[in-house]
Amino acid sequence: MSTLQYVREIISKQISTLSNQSGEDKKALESEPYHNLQKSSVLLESRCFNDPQLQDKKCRQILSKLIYLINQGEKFNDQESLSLFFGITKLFSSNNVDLRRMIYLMIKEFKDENSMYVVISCLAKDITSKNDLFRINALRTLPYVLDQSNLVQLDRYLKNAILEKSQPISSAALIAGLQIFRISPDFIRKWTNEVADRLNSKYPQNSFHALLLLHEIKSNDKVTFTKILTGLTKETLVPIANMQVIRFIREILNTDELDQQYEKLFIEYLQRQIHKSQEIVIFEACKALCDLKSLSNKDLQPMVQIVTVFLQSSNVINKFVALKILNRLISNPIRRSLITPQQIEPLIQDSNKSLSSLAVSILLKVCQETNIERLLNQIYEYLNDMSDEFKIDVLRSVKALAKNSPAKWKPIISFLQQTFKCEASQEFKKYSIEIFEFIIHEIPEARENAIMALADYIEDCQQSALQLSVLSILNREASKKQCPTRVIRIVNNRLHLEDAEIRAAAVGVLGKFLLNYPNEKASLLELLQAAAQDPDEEVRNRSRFYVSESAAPKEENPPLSIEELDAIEAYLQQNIQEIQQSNEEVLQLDKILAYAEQNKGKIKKTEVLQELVEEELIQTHESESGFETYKKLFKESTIFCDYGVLRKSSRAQNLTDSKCEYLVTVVKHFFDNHIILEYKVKNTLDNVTLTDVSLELTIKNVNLQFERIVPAKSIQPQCASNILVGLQFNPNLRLVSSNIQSILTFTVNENSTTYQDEYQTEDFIITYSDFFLPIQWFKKFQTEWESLKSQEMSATYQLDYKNTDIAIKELVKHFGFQVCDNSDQIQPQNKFHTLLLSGKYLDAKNALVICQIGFQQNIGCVLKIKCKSEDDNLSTNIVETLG
Amino acid sequence: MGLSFSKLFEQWFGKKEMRILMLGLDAAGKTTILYKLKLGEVVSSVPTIGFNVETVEYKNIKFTVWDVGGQDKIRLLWRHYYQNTQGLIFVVDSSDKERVDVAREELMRMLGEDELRDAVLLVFANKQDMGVMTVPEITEKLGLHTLRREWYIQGTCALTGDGLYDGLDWLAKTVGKKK
Repeated sequence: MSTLQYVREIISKQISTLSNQSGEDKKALESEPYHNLQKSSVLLESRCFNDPQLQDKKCRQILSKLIYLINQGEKFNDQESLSLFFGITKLFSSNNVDLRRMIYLMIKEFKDENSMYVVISCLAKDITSKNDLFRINALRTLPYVLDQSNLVQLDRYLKNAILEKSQPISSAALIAGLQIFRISPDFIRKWTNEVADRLNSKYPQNSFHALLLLHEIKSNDKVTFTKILTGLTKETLVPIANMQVIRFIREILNTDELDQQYEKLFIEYLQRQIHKSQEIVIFEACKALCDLKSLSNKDLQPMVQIVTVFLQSSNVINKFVALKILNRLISNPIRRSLITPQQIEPLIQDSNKSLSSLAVSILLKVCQETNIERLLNQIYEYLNDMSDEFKIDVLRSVKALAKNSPAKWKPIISFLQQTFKCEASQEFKKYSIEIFEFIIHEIPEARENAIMALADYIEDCQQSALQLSVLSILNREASKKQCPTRVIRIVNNRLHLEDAEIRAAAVGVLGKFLLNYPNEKASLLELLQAAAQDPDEEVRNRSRFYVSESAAPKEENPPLSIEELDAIEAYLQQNIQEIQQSNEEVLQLDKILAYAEQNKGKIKKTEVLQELVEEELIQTHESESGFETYKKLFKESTIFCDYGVLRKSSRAQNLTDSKCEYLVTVVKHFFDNHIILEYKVKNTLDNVTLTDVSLELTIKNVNLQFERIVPAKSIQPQCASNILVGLQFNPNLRLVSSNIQSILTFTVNENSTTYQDEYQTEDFIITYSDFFLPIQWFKKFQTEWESLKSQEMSATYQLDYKNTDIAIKELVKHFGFQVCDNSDQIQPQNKFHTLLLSGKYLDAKNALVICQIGFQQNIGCVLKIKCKSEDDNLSTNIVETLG
Repeated sequence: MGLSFSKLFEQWFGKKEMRILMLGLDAAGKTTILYKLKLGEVVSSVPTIGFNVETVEYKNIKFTVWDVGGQDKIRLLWRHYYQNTQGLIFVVDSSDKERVDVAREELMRMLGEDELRDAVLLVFANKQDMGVMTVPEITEKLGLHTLRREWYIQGTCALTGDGLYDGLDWLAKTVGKKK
């Protein structure tokens, strides 16, 4: 950007000098002073860089021409760029300040020349120069020419520059640091002290740059950075730094693992910022608040109020940003009740197209279903005045509307039909047709109307491309046997009214009807036989093809549709065991087809199945030598054989930082009444052997008791060994959850000295979700629920989740169950949200859970949970886990 | 006024300018020589990545001295700086017996280049204070006697500055004569 600005500056300077000489050419020059610039001639000129006596001004002008060319997209080949680059390096023999500045600009443009390091010595000299302009430019250019190998030599220069009293120099060095961080983060991390020192600089820009760099440096150490931010929330900052602090706070708030105390502090900070006087601060804080899922709608009210005030602003940019924030807010359906359509409606007439477009798309999202019709009419009124691009934007929002409110297909279809009538580009109408296609696929009850609307459209359509795309949709639908037969008449009209290309497509549609609609066969044969007399050869050929095709006996194996393939796959998966025993009977074709017919529409898409299979694979890979191996090991083990069969193993969880001397991971193995904790301890030291490695456990739940331990006798340097701990849980319970604290105790043997030591690892939790595997049903949840003939357990709780979104997320996490029938998608119009979950307990018993989540004033989140499973005790336990 | 007069003078009695390229293996002492000439003092330097360029005025001649780094990687780039070179200073580390052959190879390869056809050669046998190889020894080892161009060898010590200006004297004289 700065390069461009500089070039512009130079150009305008040149214009002013030139225009003094000749007034007539002024206009032509003003528009494009370098209009006819040829690369070859500039390259030729640039040979003067090699002259023994440099002419500073001339060189400067040539450089600005070169930068102009590069910015115009001109490319130099290898030879050209090599000789040009070395030519430019020779300009360093001049000490002219202006020329030097152009050299730096030019070097930054040479991004990929690999001999660029040649100028490093020159830059290093300039960095230590007495001229500030040299120093700043050299610092900013340095990252472009550096590579890993020569960083170390420059470290001292850069660090000194950061600590420099002059603010521009220090800032330039910090910015260079940001750039170098991309090449070598570890190198920059060593600057922590210098950069932190600048954070308190009295120059605002300086502390802003230091904050940016510190954020990079601490990208691996969120805790420290959180503390730094906390400190900054108490300071008075310049707007730009204030804004950046808000951005970083938003980043931290959005990573789930924040301490509650900090979360509260940051949210309060953000809520204070929206009352500041600078717009960038307000907007940034509003944006940050928008994204916070943990806030209730009530918490967000003040923010929405402030944003809506900006909607009346006379400043277009402020209005636009305010709209963007609202748009972002309502991308979460539960927030839609925060704004009313009346607030947005005036903006759809705004003269600024970006504004009005955004307003329409927001309106289409927030409008109540009852208002859709009115709104669409309103939009249609303005549609003719809108630009083509914007019209398509409107259609995009309408498509989203069709997705979200499928029940309102009637007004949507009539709106789309109207769009066919308005003056608009072919692209726009093509998009309308696409939405029709979407409706045909996604909203079964609207299919017939949509198909008819399309068919009506081609009765009166001048554009053959659009006719063709409609005909191809009809063709597809006709072959799926889902087309109203009234379409036939309209398609047949094409044969009499249109040119050959369309006639051929129409014959194709009629042909599909002929093959798939036996009731209409006679009349269709007649139509096609008439078409066989068509003047066009292609039309004749197609009609003859279909006539003969319909006469031919039905093929034995019609090509399989995707749905059929899915059905077969599902069938095979269900009967996999019998197939493996090569039970031929199972594979008979009619059985598969019968199955497919039975389960029509219930079979999930292929991709979902694929994902499930893959997930299982990952799980087995994760547990090192595989679940089956463990199963066998424990069964044959003399110490643990009384625990019975291994039901489930968790994934390995790290209990130490990856940089610790001893790396500890834990895997939880679940049995019917026991849990085995397998600690894997790795000794990363080179000359230390650990002996008698054991563990001391603190278990917070009385229902879970320590039973036995198998310690590791010794762990050699760079080796790992296992410690196994057996726990028993209360036999009356199916589920148990507890925090586990573990302290590693061992003897250290180092250079013939030995001493006792211990090491506390991070705590971990045995969660309820550990006991379950999510399972996916092929059938609807309701069917499963009804078919499970067991007692239904239920309970009602009041919980402190702040909104439905969080409640859903937390409940899914709590049980580790599978969400069924997409019931985690919130329908804002419903008073209660119903979440359907299913899981498989350790002993392969299925459990189904229905959660009804509602919010009541004064009380907050209310949850009614119902559970059914093949084991009533289990159901009771599941319901009780929320207590 | 002052400016325009001095410009006039320069045109009539103007300083002569001379483009000098100073090369040699790494750690021969090129950068130290350059700054000893420029500033009159010894600056501590790191291995040159790329080049340094300075103008040194001596006896009414403005020498533009290009000191290009001597590490293997950078030696490949020497050729980009040959053009318009009037004098070549080749710096040899007199205490580095092991690499004097490498120095000779580099020197000979360079002198074969077309662009350096007209350049005169000044060899600085640097680090004479270490007392390892004498000037005649180096002359011998570099094979200077076989050269068919004007050359001169000068024993130097960059730390004290001994011999440096003797070398420049020769350059001034020789190039002046050529013109």
